[in-house]
Amino acid sequence: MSTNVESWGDIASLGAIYPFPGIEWALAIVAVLIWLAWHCWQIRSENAEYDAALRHYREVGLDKALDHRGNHDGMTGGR
Amino acid sequence: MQLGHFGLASSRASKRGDNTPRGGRKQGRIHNEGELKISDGLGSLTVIFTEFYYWVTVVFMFLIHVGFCVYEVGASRRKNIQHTLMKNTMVIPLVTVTFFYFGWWIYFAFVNFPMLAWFGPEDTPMFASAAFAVPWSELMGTHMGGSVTVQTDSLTADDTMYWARINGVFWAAFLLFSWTTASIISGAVIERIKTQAFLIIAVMVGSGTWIIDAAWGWSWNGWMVQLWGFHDAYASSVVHGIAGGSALGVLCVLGPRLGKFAADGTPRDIPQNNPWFVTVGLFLIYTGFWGFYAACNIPIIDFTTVVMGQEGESFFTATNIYLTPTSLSAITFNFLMSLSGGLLAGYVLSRGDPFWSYSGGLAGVITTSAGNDLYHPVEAMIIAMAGVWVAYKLHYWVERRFKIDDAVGAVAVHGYAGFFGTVVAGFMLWGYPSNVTGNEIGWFGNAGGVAAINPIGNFLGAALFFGGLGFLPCWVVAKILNGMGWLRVPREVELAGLDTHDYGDAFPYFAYRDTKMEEIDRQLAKGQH
Repeated sequence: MSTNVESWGDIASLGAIYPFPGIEWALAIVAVLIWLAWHCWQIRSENAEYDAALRHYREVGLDKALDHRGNHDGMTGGR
Repeated sequence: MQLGHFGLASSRASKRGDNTPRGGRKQGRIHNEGELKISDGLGSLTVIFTEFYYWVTVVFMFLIHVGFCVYEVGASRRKNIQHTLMKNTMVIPLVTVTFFYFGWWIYFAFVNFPMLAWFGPEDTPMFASAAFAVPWSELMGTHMGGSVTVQTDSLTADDTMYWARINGVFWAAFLLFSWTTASIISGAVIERIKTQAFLIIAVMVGSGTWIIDAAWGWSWNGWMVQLWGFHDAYASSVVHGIAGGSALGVLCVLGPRLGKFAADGTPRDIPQNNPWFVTVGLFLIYTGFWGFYAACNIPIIDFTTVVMGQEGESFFTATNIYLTPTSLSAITFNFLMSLSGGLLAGYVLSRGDPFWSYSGGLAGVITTSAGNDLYHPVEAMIIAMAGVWVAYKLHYWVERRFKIDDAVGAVAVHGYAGFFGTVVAGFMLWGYPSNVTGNEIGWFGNAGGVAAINPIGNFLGAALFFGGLGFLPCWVVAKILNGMGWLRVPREVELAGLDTHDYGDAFPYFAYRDTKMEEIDRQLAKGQH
């Protein structure tokens, strides 16, 4: 393990004290990739959800969806 | 250590292409003579008090986001509650990580861009150095202020000592402003925007456009301050004006909620599902806003020697973001008096309607925020009342005239009130020195050796933030998102409710038919299971 800290005795000389100092560039790149990947996943997931909802409403009828006020299981007879 | 507040550059900074004032009357005078070592009792106390002070303000400001979430949940219809909540909640992680990646750097790097590089003192760089604010800086992590192994060529030992203590809390204070700016848009667009579109816009505004405006007009050395004498101490336009303009830009493309307008164009009232939640949310926003005011100040600085570089005795005071003097006492007077003026006016205008009375309180504070470092409390109260009148009247006029469905009045409360308040501050504070750079380069007059606060500069600034950095980029991005089919939920989904398929009923025990749990209760009562 790389801690960059051998002793707390000379605190005034200590700089970065997180593990593995020196890999900040790599951490920044990984962090940006995580951020962009999250957006990609969220967009695909949300659009898929709406596509599924549209198929379902066309199958059961929008009137029925409105009747059930958010009760999706009720629309499909799940309760 | 030197008090390197807000990236105040030491005399060495000019050698590294920083934004140290130069060519001015007292070139680079700021805190050249005010060295305080961290090993000194006073220096240590000042720095660690400042660190703790900002940390406290951040915790208070968290209540703003809590308030926005509660408020929007109360304002949306039952079929949209959870979608509304999660849309706004996800502002927190996304704006946080992107503000870490690039927002914080923008604040320090963009102070000159581009105007001071063109019209400022000689050799002013287009982008200022901000080595402590890039995401790969060691100072963007746990650091004791000793040696920096990566950026030894661009950070002095004093810079390192200072930012090791202050970077995280100061970053967080600005980050909470970022959440607020993005979250203001959230309320306006509820019940029909796709989460994906909102979050993309939230990142653009929260970690992009607003922090550019802060670099330009809400920094001790921003170009709008130095050239235009722009003054907006508690962010009437810097946060609220740009957020209101951004919301309006999105709304113009997004369109109204289905059923908001009758066939003849008459607007319909869409009742809130829980007015009590709406008002509690606004109470929480008030509380967080008070913390926001404190966060806009530098709590303690030796004004005479460190800021002004004068010989003689120290004079410690709080300052605003421009390093010009104010006090917590002053802004407490003015916060409460403008809140009161806003509530009084909102109550009268709406004849006691809870939503508009509470919104009036908020709009009152937003109106006076530009000048609340200097106003008399009664001035603040009267200006707040005028701002609420403007916001209330404009909201309904725009709704009728342009069929804009601003679900929570965000454009009015933040945008119109913020714009109006910034312009008023330009008149009320006309002639005060706007900053402490020593650069006598004001386009619309100078005072005390620097640009003077003036109505033209404040009007231009308010218009630039509301229109140029708020409305325009959001309108363009919303157009692009709309073209890709990413902006608005399908019509059927909107009618059925955004919760209907994805989340289910937010109040299943209030459903018209028995719930699964009630059925289980019956079975248990009959001795079944």
